[in-house]
Amino acid sequence: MRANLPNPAQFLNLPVPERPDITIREFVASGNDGHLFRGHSEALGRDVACKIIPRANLLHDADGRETWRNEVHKADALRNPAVVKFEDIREWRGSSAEPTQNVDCVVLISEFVEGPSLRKFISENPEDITVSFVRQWIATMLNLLVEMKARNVVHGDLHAGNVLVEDRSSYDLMGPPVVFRVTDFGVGDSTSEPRFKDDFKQVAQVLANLLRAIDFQACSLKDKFIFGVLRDHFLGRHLIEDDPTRDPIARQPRELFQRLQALDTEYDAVAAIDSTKLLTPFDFLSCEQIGEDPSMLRALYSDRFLGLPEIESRNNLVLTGPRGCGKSTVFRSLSLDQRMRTGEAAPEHLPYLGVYYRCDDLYFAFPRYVLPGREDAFDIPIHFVTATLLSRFLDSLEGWAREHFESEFVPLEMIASEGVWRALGTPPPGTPDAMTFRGIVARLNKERLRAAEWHRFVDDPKRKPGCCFGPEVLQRVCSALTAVFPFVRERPVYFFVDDYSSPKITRELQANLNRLFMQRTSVCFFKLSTESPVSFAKHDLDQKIYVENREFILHNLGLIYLHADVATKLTFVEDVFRRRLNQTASPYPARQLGELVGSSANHNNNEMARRIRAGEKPSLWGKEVLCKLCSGDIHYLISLVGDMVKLAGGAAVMSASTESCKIPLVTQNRAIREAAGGFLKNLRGIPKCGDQLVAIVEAFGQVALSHLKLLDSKNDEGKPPKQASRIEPYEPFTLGQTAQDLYDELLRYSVFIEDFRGKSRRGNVVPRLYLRRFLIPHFNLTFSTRDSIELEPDQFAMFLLNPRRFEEAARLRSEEAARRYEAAAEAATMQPGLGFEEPSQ
Amino acid sequence: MNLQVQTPAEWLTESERPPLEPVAQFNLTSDDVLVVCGGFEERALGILQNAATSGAAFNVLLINYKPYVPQNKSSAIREICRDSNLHLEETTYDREAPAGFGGVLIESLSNCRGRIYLDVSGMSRLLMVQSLVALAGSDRQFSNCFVTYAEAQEYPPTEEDATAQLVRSRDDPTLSILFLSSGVFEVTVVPELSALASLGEQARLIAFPSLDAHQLTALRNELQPSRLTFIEGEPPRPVNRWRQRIISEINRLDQIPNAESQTTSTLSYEQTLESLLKLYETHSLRERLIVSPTGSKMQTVAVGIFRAVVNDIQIAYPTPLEFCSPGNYTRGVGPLHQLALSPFSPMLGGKAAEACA
Repeated sequence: MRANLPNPAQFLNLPVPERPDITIREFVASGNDGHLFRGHSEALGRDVACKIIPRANLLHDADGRETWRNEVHKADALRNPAVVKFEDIREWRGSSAEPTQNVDCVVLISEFVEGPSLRKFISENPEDITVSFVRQWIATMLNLLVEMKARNVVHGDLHAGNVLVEDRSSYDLMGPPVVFRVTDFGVGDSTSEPRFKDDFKQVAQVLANLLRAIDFQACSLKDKFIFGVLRDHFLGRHLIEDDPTRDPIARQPRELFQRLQALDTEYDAVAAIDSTKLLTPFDFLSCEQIGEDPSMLRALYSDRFLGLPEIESRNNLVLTGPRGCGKSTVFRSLSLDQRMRTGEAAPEHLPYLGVYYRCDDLYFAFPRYVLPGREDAFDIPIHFVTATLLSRFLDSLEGWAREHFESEFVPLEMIASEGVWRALGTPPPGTPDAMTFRGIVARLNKERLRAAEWHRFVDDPKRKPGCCFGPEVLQRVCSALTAVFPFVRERPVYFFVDDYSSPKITRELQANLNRLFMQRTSVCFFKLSTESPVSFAKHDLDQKIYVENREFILHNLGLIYLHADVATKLTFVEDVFRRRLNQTASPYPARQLGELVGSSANHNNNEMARRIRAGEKPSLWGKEVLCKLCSGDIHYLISLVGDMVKLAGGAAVMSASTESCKIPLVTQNRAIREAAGGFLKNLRGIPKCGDQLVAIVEAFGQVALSHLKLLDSKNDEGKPPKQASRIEPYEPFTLGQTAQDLYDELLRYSVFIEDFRGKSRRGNVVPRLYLRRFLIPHFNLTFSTRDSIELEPDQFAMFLLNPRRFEEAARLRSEEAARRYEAAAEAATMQPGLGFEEPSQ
Repeated sequence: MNLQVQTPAEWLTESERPPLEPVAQFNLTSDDVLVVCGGFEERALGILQNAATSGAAFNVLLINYKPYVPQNKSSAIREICRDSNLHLEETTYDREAPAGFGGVLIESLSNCRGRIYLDVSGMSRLLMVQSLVALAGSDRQFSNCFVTYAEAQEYPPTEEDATAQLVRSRDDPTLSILFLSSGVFEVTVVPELSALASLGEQARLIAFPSLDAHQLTALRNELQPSRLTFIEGEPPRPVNRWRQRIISEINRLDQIPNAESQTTSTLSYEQTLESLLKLYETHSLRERLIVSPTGSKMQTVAVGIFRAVVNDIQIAYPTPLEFCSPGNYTRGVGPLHQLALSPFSPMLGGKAAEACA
């Protein structure tokens, strides 16, 4: 009863009468039944907590016996380290000579716990209340309740004021520096106003308060899931349900503790959207469409992927290739997360630890990024990316390590966490989860949001960004982990950074981030995928140029497919289709690509060109032709075969077919020729310049077709028709800004594929531009890569800026025009000036 | 013992939604501000003209668009203000560099002691969402704030025109069908409408298909979502219902894989809000949600209110490259409406779970 409480000031600086070694030093707080003081024991040489309770507030039985003592001593049975035990019980009866002359109290003496109560902590540190914090707290509570249940001990007053957040860092270097402690065992039940409350329901109430303090919308999806389980299951049922038939694990602390520990696994199972079967072999054309479905990704990923060894090599790498060529698929497939989800992360098969990151996240945080005018803001994107990559890495690493190296990971987690905080250069928060990977991940996720917020106001001189991670921090953290965990030491970290492409990831943002991604160390490697060579900025903030084959290896899948022989491509393409045809929910009428489209091994480009010149549109069909259509954009082939099946009447019609090649050749030919139209329509929809890109490629197609019809190849003894599916400038060119932008867009969307290998007829090193393979049939050309349309720099600029005029000038309309062209071309080989005829105005 | 813990979306789901009310006469006072945009449709003037006829003086904040479009009504708005002795202030919204405009708007409104009327009749859709989110995040929150909206009398194109173009596009697969806007300048993302809490999970694009198929194409191209949800708009007047079918055909919605579709009224914002909340409930724990407000004005108001309360969704907007001839703009001023935003205030600016604490 509060009315019985004496004035706390009268105890200050007095010795406890029965423990003269203890002097009351400081008033801490008051409750309903007593006051709490910090005392100091000369004998022990440390502070102690003294709870002074008026005797009138303590429970006695009808005979006046002190039943409260039994309640207080009950807690002595507990060995759980969270329990703050009473070390001594003394009486304080004042004599007339003392300031406390009217006092008749009992003093409960316990260790003094440095740190605020949880109630105070929540109100003073709301930013530190994360899902990780709450998990740590409830784990502590459940762990304690396990022993309390076993020893039949109840607390009776387990509110947030009786939970302490203890800072042990000053005297314990081995254990976690901050822990939760529980005090006042038995006090609630020993006072004359028994306000015994159900421990589980009290825990539920504190849990509700903690959950309310969490910024739900700032949580990661995983934390949102765990928030939901804590709220709907723990708070909604497990902690408050009295009837075990309604909830078998309700109020069962051991079972609840186990469920809590399994939440990460539970999340992984829920997050993975497992469909495992395709409705048709042509579903999920891209990695993005597969989404979070590890089984599907695994089923559709082919390890015959061209260029895989280079991607897995211990080098920094820039991977480029047309959309749909499988960059994302291979990057995600090689990540530790994906391997864990598909059970392929056995240490003996894991030469590196892969972390997958998709840059749309970066784009949303830093849209249209330009380098800020203040130097203290330069590192904001580095801060964001470092926090992001590390958060993902630590999350994956913990999951993997707990599965395969638990006996090594658990004892070393705290040491590793200390190393990580040191490497981050940030003091750890004073929370009990700080020395866990979960706690670090929670903090890193907050750092991401802070960095984005700093960036929003980067132009406001009144706001200063906080202290940012520098480019060295990521590598330093990886080194710190390597130093602690032997199982990390053997494996470098590969950061697979997907879709690192301008303009979404602006060149200035790349230049800034390249300070991180172009670092060369032995502990981590960066694999950047970008849409095209021009969507990657090869320099840093200071315009320092990064050199191919020194700082990074450029791996262009478009070129690899362009120059690979048909047999190599066929091995991969057939494997992709084999996987898809065997992955459908109901058996598909074909198991191999060849069964659908047949084999066209005898396809001959020269023969095809002669037929085109004769006015025919040669029939295109067969699996070899499909390979020739591929510029790496495997999704296009899948979609194309899907279109063929649709045009042929669908799977049901093919089931009835007795032909060895189930899709009629005429249908294949039609689908191949129509498909490019769809691509051009989409190209037209490209922001700002879609129409112009379409006009450019159409101009090239018309000019190339006129050359095929009227010119012969100089590069072949048989003098077959000239088959130009590429542009070759005579000389290196410098384009104006508009033309350069268009050129970049053509490469960005892989309308043309740029190849720097080779020289022009004048002996200059120039880029050759190969028409994307699947556009070839649209313009009635052949798949030959032998001949070129050769252009002077000014003609090339005209081609980009005014494609219709270029077409008018360069398209051959008669044999006479062809002869004039050849003569001019012959001369131009030796000297500049090809001399297209200007169209009449 | 109060154990209830609610997320903002749950609060919004359970809260009562104020109705969109028809208004015959707007009566503003000298403390009030009407925020209008110099859009190019006739209805951009509807609310201002109506309020001016009351004879009372009030304040007008005119938002001019940049790049300038000759058909914009800014001059007409200035003229009405001059003739009616209304206090006019102006600011500029750059459609090609819109980031941070919410802050500019709030600064412009900082001296307003009365009510704020946000007239969305001539307002860009991205601007609507930016404005609503900025108001929600201001000190005032939504207190004493209203959305005003003027319907049009006619909504081009006619069914015949649209059908004819659709037939032509079937014959020529590279032909684009263009009505109100043409092409996409870029898919615009502004930091204040970004959501970064979800990391790495698959993206779901929630889009409102429009008469300009380029918008959806650009969104899919740029954002590459794993899953799609289309919220198709159903016009309130039966005579306009054909538009939903035509829009679906123009965008070839039936051919887009991994997509689900639903329909909400183009006028009743509650339906769209309901729909967004259900999508959030169903998908937000596993997917990063990206909403592109390319639907009707009132569907966009729903997106703005939704984003103001539920801030862990990403907004992306395909800014039109240019606008077509005036013949394709909506014509006339139809019924006028008002929506009170104050009922949404209690959930703003607070932490997720504090709502029912």
